[in-house]
Amino acid sequence: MEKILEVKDLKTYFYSSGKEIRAVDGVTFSLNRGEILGIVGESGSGKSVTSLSIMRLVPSPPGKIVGGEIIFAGEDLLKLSEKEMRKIRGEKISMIFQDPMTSLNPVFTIEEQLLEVFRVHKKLSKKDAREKAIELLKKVGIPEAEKRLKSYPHQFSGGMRQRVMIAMALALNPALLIADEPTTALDVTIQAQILALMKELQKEYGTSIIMITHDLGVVAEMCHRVLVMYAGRPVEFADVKTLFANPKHPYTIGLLNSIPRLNEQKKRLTPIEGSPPDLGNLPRGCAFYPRCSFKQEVCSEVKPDFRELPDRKIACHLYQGVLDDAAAS
Amino acid sequence: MGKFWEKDWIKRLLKNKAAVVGLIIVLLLSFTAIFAPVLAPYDPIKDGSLQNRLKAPSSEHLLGTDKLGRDILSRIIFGARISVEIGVISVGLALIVGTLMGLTAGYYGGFLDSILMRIVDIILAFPSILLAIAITSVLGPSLNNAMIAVGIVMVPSFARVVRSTVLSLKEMEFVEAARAVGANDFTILFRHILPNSMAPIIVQGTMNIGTAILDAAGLSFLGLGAQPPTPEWGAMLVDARELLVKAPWVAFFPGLAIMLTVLGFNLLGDGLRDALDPRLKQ
Repeated sequence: MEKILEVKDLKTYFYSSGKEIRAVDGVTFSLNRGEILGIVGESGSGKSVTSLSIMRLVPSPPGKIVGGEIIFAGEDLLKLSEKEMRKIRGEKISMIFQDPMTSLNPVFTIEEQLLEVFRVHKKLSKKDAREKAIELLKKVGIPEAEKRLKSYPHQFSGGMRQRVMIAMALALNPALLIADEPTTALDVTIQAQILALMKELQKEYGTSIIMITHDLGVVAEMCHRVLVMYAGRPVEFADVKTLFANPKHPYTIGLLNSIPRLNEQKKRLTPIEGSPPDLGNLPRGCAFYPRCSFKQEVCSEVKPDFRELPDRKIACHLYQGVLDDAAAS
Repeated sequence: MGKFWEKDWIKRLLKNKAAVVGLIIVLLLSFTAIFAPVLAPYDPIKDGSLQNRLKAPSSEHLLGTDKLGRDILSRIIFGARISVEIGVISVGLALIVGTLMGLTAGYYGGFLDSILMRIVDIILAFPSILLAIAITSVLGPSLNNAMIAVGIVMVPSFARVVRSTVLSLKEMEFVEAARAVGANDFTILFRHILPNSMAPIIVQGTMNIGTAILDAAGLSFLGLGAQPPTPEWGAMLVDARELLVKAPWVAFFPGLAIMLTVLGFNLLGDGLRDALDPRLKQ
């Protein structure tokens, strides 16, 4: 499988009032062509900052990418100039945002915004661009596309706007699509429709997708592989089937236990006790240590490395023994 | 896109009685300014004779005559031209400079923002008429220089309004979305942020036209703006000063014209603010 994206030891820090906040600290993962990768974690775990770092859109100041490599189609994005990066945005890598209510400009028609993608990248004549725009709107399931082009965003429902956003994101047939919680702001029936649409278009165009979400249901349905993040660090990276059938990291186990199941008669959910740590003031050892139910002495002292097991990568001292055995044999 | 008069904000504006009064005053003023030569019964400068001096309002001279025997109505009608010109040019100048300053300061932030906003603070630290007096004394007294001075004085109000809207707009997701499709700063500023800040700019502009006319009249009154024999409303008041008791109409009518004009622009500006931003009213 050809690797389309490889993120190695990415570090994005924020600096505010003299404090260093490690929003993303050593994230490593890779993505194959045509694959859907889910990045899950709670709010503040660094999912969105990871995606903004790939786009090089981290607001600076206060944010800064301080280390690592982002290899996209053989090129390190962190080494490109802003101008070269602008050519990649929208054309090679595009993005869908969380809230379709605010991600379209209220003063322009849908047509003007769709055509902007072509205009920015000087791809097509106005007439061809218009035809392409209509074709795209049809593709994302917007009825009466020719008529709807003249509409303003406020004349669309949330689901329709997200469809428009998807059309914009796919306009130039990018190799990679980053979807930052694309269904969080939509109601449940619309969520299912949007996910189905994304899956369908992904198959048709062969686009690789990074799906950022905190909804494990979305991950199970959509993704091939999953990266679990906690407090800015990757904790477990595995095939979706492996992860759901046999989670190994205590945090992943906790996450999976906290979803309600239809076939269980238990009255209460099992949450993970405690709350995520303050990123400006992390524990010395493992960031999950205070909430972990399998903690050992070493966990409070040493940060676990993100190491390779036969079927996954994991950052946890529990599996250090397994790792050492593997190394010895 | 409906017809122009079917737009929501136009409907809201026309429902507001005060705004309609303001709109009528502004339209009348513009009409008078455009058709001054047709409307004025006499020439504002040449048709004076000393036999006619200081005549009280009569059927021949509806608003009376001044101390050189010139028809006050005609002078006020021609004065409308000058006032509209002052209002539009000085506000236009302030709007362009202020908007560019506000866009740059708000969008780029940091050091540039500090510099630009401190300039604004310095301008604001002076009473506006005093600063305008200082600028016209440096540039020399003339109508053009008065317009420049009034324009400079009004730059801060635009810069501040635009900067604050930019600060909130640049955090909007559609701006980030535009950046994510590869748009550069120029496109983002002028295609995405500026059109969304038009409402406050329009409101500020309308309100400031009234202030500009008032300030320019003040400068002319002090002899720093329009020079005699130009029929400028402020300049007309100068001559009227010592005649307040003997011939009150000489001061009263230009003063009334200034007051009504400023009132008209302020009412319209207030109305526009409510109409363009309905959230403010609720």
